[in-house]
Amino acid sequence: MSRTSESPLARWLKHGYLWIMLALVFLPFYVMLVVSFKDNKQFSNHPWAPTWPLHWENWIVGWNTVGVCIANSIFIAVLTTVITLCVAVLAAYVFGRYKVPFADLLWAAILVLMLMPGVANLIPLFNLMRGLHLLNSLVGLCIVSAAGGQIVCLYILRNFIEDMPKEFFECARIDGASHLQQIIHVVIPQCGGIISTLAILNFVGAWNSFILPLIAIRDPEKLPLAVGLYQLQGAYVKQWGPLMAAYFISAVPLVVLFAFTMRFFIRGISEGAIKG
Amino acid sequence: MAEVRFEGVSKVYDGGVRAVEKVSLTVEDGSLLVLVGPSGCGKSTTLRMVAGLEDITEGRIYIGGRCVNDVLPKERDIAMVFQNYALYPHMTVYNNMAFGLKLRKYPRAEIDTRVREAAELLEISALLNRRPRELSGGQAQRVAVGRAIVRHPKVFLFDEPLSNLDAKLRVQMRVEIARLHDRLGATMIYVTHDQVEAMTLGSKVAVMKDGFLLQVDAPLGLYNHPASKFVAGFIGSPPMNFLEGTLERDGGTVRFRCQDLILSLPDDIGRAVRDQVGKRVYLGIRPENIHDATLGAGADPGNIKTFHADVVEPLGAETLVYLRGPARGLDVVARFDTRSSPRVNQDVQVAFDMNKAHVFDHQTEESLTYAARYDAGLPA
Repeated sequence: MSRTSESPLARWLKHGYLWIMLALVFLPFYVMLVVSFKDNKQFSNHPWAPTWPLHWENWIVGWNTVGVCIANSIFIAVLTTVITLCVAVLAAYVFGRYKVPFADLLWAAILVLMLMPGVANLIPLFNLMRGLHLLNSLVGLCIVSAAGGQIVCLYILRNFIEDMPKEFFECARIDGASHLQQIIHVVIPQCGGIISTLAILNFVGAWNSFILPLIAIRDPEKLPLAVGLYQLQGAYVKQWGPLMAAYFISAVPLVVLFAFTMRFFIRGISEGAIKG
Repeated sequence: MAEVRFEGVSKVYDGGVRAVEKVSLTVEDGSLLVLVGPSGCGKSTTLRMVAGLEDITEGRIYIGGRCVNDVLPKERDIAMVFQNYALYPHMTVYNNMAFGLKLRKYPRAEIDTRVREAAELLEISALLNRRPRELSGGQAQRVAVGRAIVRHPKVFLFDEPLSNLDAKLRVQMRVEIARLHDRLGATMIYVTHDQVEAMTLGSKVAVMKDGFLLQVDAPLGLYNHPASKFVAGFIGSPPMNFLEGTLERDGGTVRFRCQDLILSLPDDIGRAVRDQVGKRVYLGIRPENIHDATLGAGADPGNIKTFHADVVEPLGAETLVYLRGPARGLDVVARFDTRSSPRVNQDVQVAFDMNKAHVFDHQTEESLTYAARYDAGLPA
């Protein structure tokens, strides 16, 4: 419907609805921000409205509390994403281009694993990590997370590589490209959009990972953000100001990530839609 | 440049599908061989075996005297142009052309020189900074050819490079490829299903069917001396007319009879087929060897027959006439001179030039006149 034919009332209703939705989405951030400058007394008296004086020291306490956790989460998310995608691209290249022995069986197993809930294998996973001396280690956590992340990445990337014209690879072979060079010069540029999307999804997934770090990490200085914030709940007699400051600081990295990477995410999804 | 030699080359896929059967032929150094045939005949598979993209099941392939059966594609010193160009969409034209040289770690200056030389040869210098999506079909195909040229390979392989182009562009690119071959003097193997491309491009043409190599000859050799009914019908447009009948003797003359149609064979052809008298055969005659009898030209009166013009297609330089004979199975296509003016649904007196006729065995479909005519150097 064009603007000229749309009635003012309809336009007002549409915009009003969008503003209400936006407000609801941003409400938690507003609450966190407002409460982060209060002490408990101000919070009890006026929980939603800004109050004075502003307690800036809450932010220092909050940062000291979650700063290490943020650093751990960044390390885990980046390393997990890198390992996941490196392995998945290599494996998807082989599955997509060549006839692998028992490929159908392997593929069926991957599909079954996609349907299995992660918590169902927590205990055997814990025992496995203990046997491999990967407990209480950030790198160990990354390796296990990367293994789990293979399933979806492999499934998506293999389909993309299968759809690529085989002449690209044949031409590269004739030109003298090795398998690794074909991946670097042909696969990755062609699949850049979907690889970006998978990178974002894996990063966010590793960032928000909770159950596995909860059982695998013991040392407080190695805790990632999700577990650190959870333990923060019981650490204080509910100092709401520093708590909210810590939560707000925790949300900033992902907001920044999305702000800079959303166009890659959308492009990757669009490429997937067109290819599909 | 180098000679390419096939010795009993076969390709059998998993499951027992025999795509290529014992192909033996030689592509002379500097020549352009065209592999032509219908879809699924094994021509692309044969080409891919030369490139190393398909394993060779039986036989050997030699490039420049070296057996390349176990040699990797990158070490065979060949370059290939694909049907769909295979240009990397994320690279500029320059980088597409330079890609192979960069992989082989050529110095930057030499890469630049080779790319610009090839671009100038193909008249695409102005396109070097464009990406493939900004190119037309013809431009993209030239870039693909340029990517092959910069490698200075021993052998160029073309896998139906013009199939994705429109008819007009195909004609134009055909001429350019022919010019390129003349300029480079390179050994080229060109695969196509289009017999017009085959006839116009190749110094030699190899016709394949169902994995078998049927005949290798110069284009006019195939056209005038086809060794089998399939080759006779595949080469030439409109295709050769085939009439199914029997051979009979009338005194010293051998005649072909198809129902009420009787055509006398000239002495040389009669001698070649005299052992087949009484047997069923196919008589082949090209449209341009069926004339309008009213124009004279010394036709044998015994070979002038009355046909009915069903469809007349005036093409300007010639007229195609679709003729219906006196009985079923006697339909032929004739290529008349522009001086003729046949009318649709009119009876036409047509003269069969039997000096140019071909006779094929009914069972094997091999030419009964091939050896006698070709060896005797008889006129086409």
